[in-house]
Amino acid sequence: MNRATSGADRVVILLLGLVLVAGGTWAVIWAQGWLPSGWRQPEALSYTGLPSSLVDAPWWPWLLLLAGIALFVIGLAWLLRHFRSSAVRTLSLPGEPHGGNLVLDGAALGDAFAAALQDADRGVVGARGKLVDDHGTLVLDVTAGVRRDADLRDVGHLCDEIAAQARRATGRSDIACRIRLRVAPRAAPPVRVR
Amino acid sequence: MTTGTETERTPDGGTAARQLGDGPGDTLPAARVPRSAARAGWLGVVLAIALLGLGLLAAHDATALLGWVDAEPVGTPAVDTEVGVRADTATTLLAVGLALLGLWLIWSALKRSARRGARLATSTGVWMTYGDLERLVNGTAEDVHGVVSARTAVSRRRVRVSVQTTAPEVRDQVQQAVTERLSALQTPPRVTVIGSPRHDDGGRAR
Repeated sequence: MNRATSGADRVVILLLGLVLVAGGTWAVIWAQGWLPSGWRQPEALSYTGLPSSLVDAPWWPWLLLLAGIALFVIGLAWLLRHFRSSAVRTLSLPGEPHGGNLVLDGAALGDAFAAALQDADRGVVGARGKLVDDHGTLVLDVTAGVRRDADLRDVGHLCDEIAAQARRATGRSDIACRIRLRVAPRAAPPVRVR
Repeated sequence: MTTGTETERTPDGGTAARQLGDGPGDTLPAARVPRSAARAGWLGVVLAIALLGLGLLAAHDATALLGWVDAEPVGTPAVDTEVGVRADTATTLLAVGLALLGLWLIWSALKRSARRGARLATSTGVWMTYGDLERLVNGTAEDVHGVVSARTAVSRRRVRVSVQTTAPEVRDQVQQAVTERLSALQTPPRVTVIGSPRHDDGGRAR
């Protein structure tokens, strides 16, 4: 889910909430007879169905069909955007060899980072990584399983070193890095994150 | 984003100003600790499904009215039915309920969800969830000689460890071990250890 989708969620929910609060408050004031004099004071609130001039019109089914298709498409697009993968497939690297473009596979960068963490043998028992677009920022997102007795400072230094290597390798300073350390539960084999 | 001089924490815990961008020691900048899924997110999913369903219903009724499918329009009652409410207590209660629901929606839309964990004191972004920190602290406490069992609750600012010990002085050792372990965090939480000795309750000590 990207920033636009979560923004749309919040705006729609906010508007719906405001409408409910305004309508509900008005209805309470009306039902209790607290409306100021001069305001319209209906006897009852009623819905009498749609006017027959509308539903009996020859174009009514077509209008309904169009509206239905529009609602369906908007709803489906909105729904799918919540589950869209944020993985970044390729990353362009600085430099222009022979006028071409240098690109790096996003998954390869994540895999290489994870492999480097795991191979260092300093308390990390498994790792996986991927390059994602997190609200408009490129993030190298790595999850590493660590032993319960692992030295956190040591693992932290290791992460710093490998992130520095990744930065030198890509030449990109706009990639942020996020490494989650998971702790293996007791009485269970060490976390295997693969 | 990261060019220019920034004051950073060095691995030995001090701070030093250094030029980012070209030094070999430069590491990838830290991404922020993620937040848990916002309530607005799943409410959005629910609303999207509702919209989709409404669209399907309208399209179904339209095709039924056009005679393309042999079915009765489902929405006919919504078009014909007459409903009304009077100004009475039931209406007031219903309206209060709707207004409260609206307030809850507004709150959900504006609320920021909490961060899922805490950062380690590193240059790049290394973090752990509070659940993982709990496991780590529990393990640290249980590894202290004289601890029978440990239970831990971790929040952003404090860690509370309840240990059953074989001797009163074990509590301080647990405090020391846990504090030392959590000193790797960028903002170490306050550690409270509650010790309940098992050595003087009638031979149940192990």
